[in-house]
Amino acid sequence: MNLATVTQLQQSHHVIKEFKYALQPVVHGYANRTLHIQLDTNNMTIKPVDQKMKDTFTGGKGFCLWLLWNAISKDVKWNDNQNELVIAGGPIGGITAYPGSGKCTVVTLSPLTKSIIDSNGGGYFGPLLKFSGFDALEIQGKAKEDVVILIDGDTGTVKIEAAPLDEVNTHLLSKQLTDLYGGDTDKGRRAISVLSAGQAAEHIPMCGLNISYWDPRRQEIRIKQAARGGVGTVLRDKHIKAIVVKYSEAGGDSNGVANMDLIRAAGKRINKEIADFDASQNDMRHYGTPYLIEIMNRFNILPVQNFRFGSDPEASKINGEVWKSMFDFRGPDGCWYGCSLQCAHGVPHYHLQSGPYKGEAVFVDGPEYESLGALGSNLGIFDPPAMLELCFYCDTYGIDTISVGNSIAFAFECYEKGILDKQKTGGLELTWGNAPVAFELLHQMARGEGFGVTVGQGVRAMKALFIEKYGADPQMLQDMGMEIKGLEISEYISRESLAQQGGYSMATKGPQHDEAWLIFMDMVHKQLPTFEAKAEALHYFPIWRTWFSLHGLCKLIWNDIIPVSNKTAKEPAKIPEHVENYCWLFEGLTGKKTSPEDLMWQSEKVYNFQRLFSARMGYGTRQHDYPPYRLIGPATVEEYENLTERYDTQLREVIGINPEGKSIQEKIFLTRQYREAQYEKLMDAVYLRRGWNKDGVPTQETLKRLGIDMPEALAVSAAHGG
Amino acid sequence: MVQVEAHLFATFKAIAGKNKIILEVLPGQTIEDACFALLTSLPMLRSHWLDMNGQLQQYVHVYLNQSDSATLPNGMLTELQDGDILDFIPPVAGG
Ligand code: SF4
Repeated sequence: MNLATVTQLQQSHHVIKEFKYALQPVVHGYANRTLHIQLDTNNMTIKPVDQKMKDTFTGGKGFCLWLLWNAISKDVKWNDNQNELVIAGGPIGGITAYPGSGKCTVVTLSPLTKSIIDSNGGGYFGPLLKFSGFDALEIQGKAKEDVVILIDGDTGTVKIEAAPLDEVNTHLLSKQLTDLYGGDTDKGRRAISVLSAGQAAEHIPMCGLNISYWDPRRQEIRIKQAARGGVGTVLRDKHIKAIVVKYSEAGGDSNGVANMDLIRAAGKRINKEIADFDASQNDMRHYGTPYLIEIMNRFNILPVQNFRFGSDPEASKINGEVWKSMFDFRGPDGCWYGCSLQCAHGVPHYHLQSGPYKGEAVFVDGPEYESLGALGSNLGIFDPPAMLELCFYCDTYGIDTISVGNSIAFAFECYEKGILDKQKTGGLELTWGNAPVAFELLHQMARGEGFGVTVGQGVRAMKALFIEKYGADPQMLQDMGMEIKGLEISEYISRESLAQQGGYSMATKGPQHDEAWLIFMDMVHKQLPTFEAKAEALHYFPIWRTWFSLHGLCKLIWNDIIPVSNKTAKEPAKIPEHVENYCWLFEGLTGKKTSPEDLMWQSEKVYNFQRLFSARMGYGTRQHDYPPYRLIGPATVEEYENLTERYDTQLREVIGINPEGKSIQEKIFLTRQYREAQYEKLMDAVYLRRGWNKDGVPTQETLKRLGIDMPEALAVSAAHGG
Repeated sequence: MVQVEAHLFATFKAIAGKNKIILEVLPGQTIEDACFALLTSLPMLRSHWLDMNGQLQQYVHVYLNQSDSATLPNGMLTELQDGDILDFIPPVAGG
């Protein structure tokens, strides 16, 4: 493969626009300004961040939402000039004394859901952006040609450069740009983070962003993803090949904190816990998230064959220990400095079997649990090399593994049901476990041709297409299409957890586990026995989990290591000792006394604001909070028959109907009636607890209480009866 | 004797070097008794499962026939029956 050399790239990169700005230190976690780039005019502006913005939106995702709210009107479409890609780390982000502090959040109007999406990922981009001088970056408009944007925090320069020879696929582009701007030393390369998508982002709406960092031990580019909702598709729609941030002096004191001792105290406590207990608990440092596979399989909540079933005897082939034996342990696996949990593993020297890089040996980041669920069990593929192949190509092409996994699974099931056939798929046999076909679908998405492009439009678009073009039964497709709000559902089967059904379905951006993961609390530990308890959990946990993306923090440090103090904690699910750590972090950062309620208060404002923002864009109301029935109960005969004893027992003992003598269809109908009514009741209880009206919109009273009562916000609420 | 099948998952399985063991306990003995019987058979788990007072760490989750022992009326003191299955699973946070 002939790649452009650094010299060729230098010669081809002509500067379209250069912008100089004054360097200034970060104070108490804030750079106190944001950068706006108008790509169609190449205009660049610095906006101040005032105290009111900090008090109302805190930072990170909060800032992104506020900037986007001000930038777009309610009629804007995702690919209009007006839509923005907004990226931010967060005030605590970049701290190195506490693990998991390198995340950033991306917010935009989604090409997949058409509503507001937020997606977060690790890597160095968020902290380096802030240290370079900006709490957030807004990009509006579209470039006239393919460009790379460079934010150089060493010199105080932003450049928009034409980038005609740069690759598009991440594994090549990130390396090219790291070498181009970072030189050939480890120090230089560690100062670089590249944000990029991939070829598929030019053709399908489900592409995410890859966020890079240099791994000096392995001499590899490593990547983490802000994968969800099409944020990468927006990047390429703006004709951006990559955004690069460069900052060489990142260190423990780069955040300008008020009380480093308090931050160190929190860091010391959590790092000791990880050192003492990780090996006895989840051993994230050696297994990463794939350890979940066998546990989900045991509890019958691992998606198998498009979420029809919850376990498979072959799941052991993609268990945690399989990956542990392949992971490269030559160096630390933290995706930002100071992460002692180090779950960001990778597999070296994988030889690709297909596609444009066939035969090449590559480093594959991950795989993570979600990718294994989506591309493995959910497709009936249990072959580790095939998993690596799929993960690698998803990453380099920029495709979200969850969305594409569920979309391929949906197409496989449509093929099985006869809705699709070989003629319609261009000759591809979409059968369970058919890995080569899954590879080919990805390559077609990248090339922008063939049936892969249809699959790449996502489940919601396929449903509409198959109904219109092939006369498929709308109810059947609605029941088996594993998406809500246009976003494919992440990889847990929630049929036996009403709270998790609500967690997925009432999440504003769409069904993503990072907002509410209550399945074990509810289904396994039975800690949420009443509607009130479920509603309380669906109030507290989504708001609490949102808090991490306000600050550029990784949630795994909160709940993937359990402190000894949890034994006597009143509410162990909240992990109070770790919440206290976060109070210390914010207090250490700002010098302001901080309580757990203060943290929730920060987050509740942003959580409600996002809901209202979605309502303003025509979404974010009750009608959008309904899941496909398969998420709630057995949708087909085979699903019922798979667990007949469980469902019959529920009919008898919970619903009060004797199943004897009833056909499976009757039993499915009666179960469905009951479960759907339960879900309706849950919605009412949750909306009430959240301070939303029956239509699921924050009331004016709620907006006033939270101090997000800007006139336009109140008007949106009023328009929805709030 | 009462025969119980104990399954070990994820980290616990890796530490023990096996995913299954048959335990024999006396009639009337409990889940808690079975835990200590298991630690006798698989002593490599002791330092991971027991705190300084010799008590089971709270992150060792034990399930009896797929029900969380903490949700059973008698908790860890639930008496075992012949053919029961015990699962030992590390803490699961998800997402
Ligand atoms: S726990 Fe994993 S994902 Fe989170 S910051 Fe550390 S390495 Fe990154």
